Amino acid sequence: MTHFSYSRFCSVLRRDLVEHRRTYVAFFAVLFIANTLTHFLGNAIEELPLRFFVQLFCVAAIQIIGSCYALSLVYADIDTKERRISNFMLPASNLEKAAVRHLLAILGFQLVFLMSYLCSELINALYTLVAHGAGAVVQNSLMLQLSEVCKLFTFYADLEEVLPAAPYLVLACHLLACSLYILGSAFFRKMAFVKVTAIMLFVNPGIFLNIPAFFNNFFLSHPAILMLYSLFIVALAVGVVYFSYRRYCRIQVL
Amino acid sequence: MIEVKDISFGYGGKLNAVFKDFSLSVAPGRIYGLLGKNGTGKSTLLYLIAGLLRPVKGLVTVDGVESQRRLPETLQDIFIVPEEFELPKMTLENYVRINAPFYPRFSWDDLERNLRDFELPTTLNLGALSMGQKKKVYMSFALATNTKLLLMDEPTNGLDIPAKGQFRKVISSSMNDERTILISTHQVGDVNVLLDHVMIVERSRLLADCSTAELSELLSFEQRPMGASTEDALFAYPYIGGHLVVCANTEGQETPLNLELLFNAVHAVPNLLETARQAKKNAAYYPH
Repeated sequence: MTHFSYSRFCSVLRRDLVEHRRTYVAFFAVLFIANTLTHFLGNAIEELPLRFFVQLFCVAAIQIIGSCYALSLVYADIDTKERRISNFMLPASNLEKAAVRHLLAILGFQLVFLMSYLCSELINALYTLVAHGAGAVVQNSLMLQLSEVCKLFTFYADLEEVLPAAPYLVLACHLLACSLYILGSAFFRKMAFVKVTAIMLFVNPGIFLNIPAFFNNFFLSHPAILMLYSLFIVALAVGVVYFSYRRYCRIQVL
Repeated sequence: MIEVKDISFGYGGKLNAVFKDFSLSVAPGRIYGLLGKNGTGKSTLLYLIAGLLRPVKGLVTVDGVESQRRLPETLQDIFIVPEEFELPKMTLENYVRINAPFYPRFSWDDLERNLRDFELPTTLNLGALSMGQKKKVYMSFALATNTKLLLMDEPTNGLDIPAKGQFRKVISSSMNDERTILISTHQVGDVNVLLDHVMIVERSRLLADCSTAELSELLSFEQRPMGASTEDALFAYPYIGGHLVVCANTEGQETPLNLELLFNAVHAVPNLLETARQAKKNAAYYPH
């Protein structure tokens, strides 16, 4: 009895890609439109640093919201009784099925996002070439200007001076948020993204409003503890993902 | 092949218990008919066997493996055709290409033969089919997987009149000694001639668990005109112009099995089969 077989995993992956190809195309289309609009919105701003700041902010927001939405679909295949039967009766292990869904929600989404972004960059470049000439292409490309723009952001540098482990904490918190969307997809059969977002908006402020005082008094003077705290959050995120998987394994067709 | 041992299961706690200490055994190479009133747990039993539901207590095993573990090795030998299902919007060829690799004994020839029997072409767009056509395609695929166990929940619902005959033909031509087909249905007339074994379930009891051959040996099903005596009948059911009766088959002459009548009889006379067995024994000792 094997819980993970590479050939079965590939079969499940192929099945998922073919069965949900329309969803992936829709994802690409929505991301492409959003990225293209971002470019054109940025092009309307004359001041260069502000333009790139707005563009970068919008692209980052699209990326984060999109990836959270994709993660909220990890266990979306079991939203109706018919789909649960189809999913659970597929002769592959729960691990293989879940691994495919995680792979597609994480790497698959990033790939679709990258492709949609490159396409929108290409459209933007073509439009700039036609409307403003070749010289403006480099100036209007967010990607090509990114390294310049990054110099404008001193947030991490400033933060790192005060809290050397801050970037790790930010990353850990992002991982935890992502894991919560996966958990939501295992619990909520409909609108998991909206429900998890709503819960996080209501619950998070309650938690984080009390944390700064704790940070000021304790963490600021102990960077190593902040690092450990980050590790704890990562472990928590891993635990949440595992719990979601266990929940998926235990679901019945009621 | 299938062992259901002392299972208890209910929806929403003990108050809605469907099964309590229920046991059942299913042998390979037969077509079983699972009959029962609405809400007596026919579909639930199929889902428990398939591992889609977990009993609160007891064990359900398929070939010795607990089905609730949903192991790939077990799942590749079980196929369930639920009453309602979804087919993705794609061509049949694509559907087969992505699903067939999971079933080691899948046969494209069998699929073609089944589709031909259902008078369907092999080039189909699944998104453009009616519910009945989808059912035919799904059942054709299910049979072509050649799984050892095939569970069917109300398979003839939604099929047109010619398709019911085609269904019987497809099922009988797909049967072999290794395969077990368990059909849960209310449409007894559609599967009457197919069944090798009849199980009538009533909550936690099996009112009948008998092969059709034994049923024919034990019981005779007759239609008697108005005024004719029904004193020897184990069960009599008023019918237009007379009675439908179930008698102990003491004469040894087999009559066609009337599942609807049997169903009503076992509900009205819970020890019907035992009484028939006794009557048959008595007739053997004291021939008239």
